[in-house]
Amino acid sequence: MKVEREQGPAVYFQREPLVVRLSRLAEAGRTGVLRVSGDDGGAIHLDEGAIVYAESRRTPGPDRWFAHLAEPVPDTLPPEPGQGPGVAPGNGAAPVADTPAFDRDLAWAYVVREATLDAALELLSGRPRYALRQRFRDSEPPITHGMAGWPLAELLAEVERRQRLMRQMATAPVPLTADTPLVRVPDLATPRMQVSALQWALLIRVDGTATPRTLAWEIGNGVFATTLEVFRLIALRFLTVAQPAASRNPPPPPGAPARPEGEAVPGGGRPVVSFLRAVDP
Amino acid sequence: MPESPFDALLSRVRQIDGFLLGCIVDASTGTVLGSAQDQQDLSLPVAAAGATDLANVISLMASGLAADGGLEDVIITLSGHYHLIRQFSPAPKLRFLLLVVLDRTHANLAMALRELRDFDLGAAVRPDPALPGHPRGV
Repeated sequence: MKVEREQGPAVYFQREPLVVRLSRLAEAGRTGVLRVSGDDGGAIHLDEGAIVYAESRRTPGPDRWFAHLAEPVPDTLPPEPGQGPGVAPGNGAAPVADTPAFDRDLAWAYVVREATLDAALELLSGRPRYALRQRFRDSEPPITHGMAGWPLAELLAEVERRQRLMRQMATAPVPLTADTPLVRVPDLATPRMQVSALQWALLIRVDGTATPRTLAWEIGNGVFATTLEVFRLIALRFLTVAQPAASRNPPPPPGAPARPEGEAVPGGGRPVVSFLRAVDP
Repeated sequence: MPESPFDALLSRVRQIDGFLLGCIVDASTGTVLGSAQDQQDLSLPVAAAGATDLANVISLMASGLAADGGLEDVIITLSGHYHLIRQFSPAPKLRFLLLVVLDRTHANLAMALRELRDFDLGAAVRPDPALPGHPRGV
């Protein structure tokens, strides 16, 4: 391992906490890429100390996201395993002919920004980042199509806000994380409800094994945004979390029927996250 | 660095009489995408988070009621300010909120609402009748 130097065009490795390393690079006004190794690694791109882009192996990139932004969604829910045909939505919408026009500049700016925040949340959260080898290389900044980079303090404030929201969801009556398997609630409590296009796209893909993260990759959306949207579907009682086999405790008494695989966890109350509490705890 | 598309959108609402603060917020995540501020003593993160909470709760209510439509706007009248929240969709799967805070002594509420709706028409994709319902009934 080479010794850390913050001056000069060199490649060098470090194992100090990622946020500390990032702070030093930002303060020094460096331009280049900080790569983090490992299965949950990624890269953070800096331009004169500002964070212009980040990518993680565990979050979808902006190109995947952009490609799915306006794609049509099917009109029926797929049938549950072993059940009849899918459920049609109330008003029998017409099939989609073409992708509608939308503001592509705005949408691209949005997906680059969200993909960066999603990746930054992933890279700066979770297990201690000491263990991950980091490598910084001076290079040209990526093309950002006019999007300004973040000062590191602003990026960290946004990451911290998202971490607080994730903690709210993880401690809710129906605890949810980005990697929690989901199941559909078989019987709706009310005869008629409505969902957004994004919520519909999620609902039709929940099969007992899907998690917010796998759904995000499938529909081309942020992991954080998908987790929040799933949480709203749990609040609406369309979805709940599947009970993992390992947590089925205590075991059923002798003679009692065993709980089926993927059984829903009963939730109490209507879980709601507070964005206000996340910025002003 | 050239201005972002969000800043370009906000430059239009900055012309509204009584303008104090404006921001575009991702309704899904509560992230502030762009902002413009004439009065620095208003906390932008708190205003944006409050607007997101309101939109979130109203969307849950509309879903539960199957209200045959989504949120359009929210008007909050405080003794000194108007807070106007307008939801718009620049792409079918995106929901943004435009929050504008106005000084009541200088603002005309009816005109401001008209201007926000004009902004919406210019910025957003209108619902396409060929698309599956957005929102849709289940």
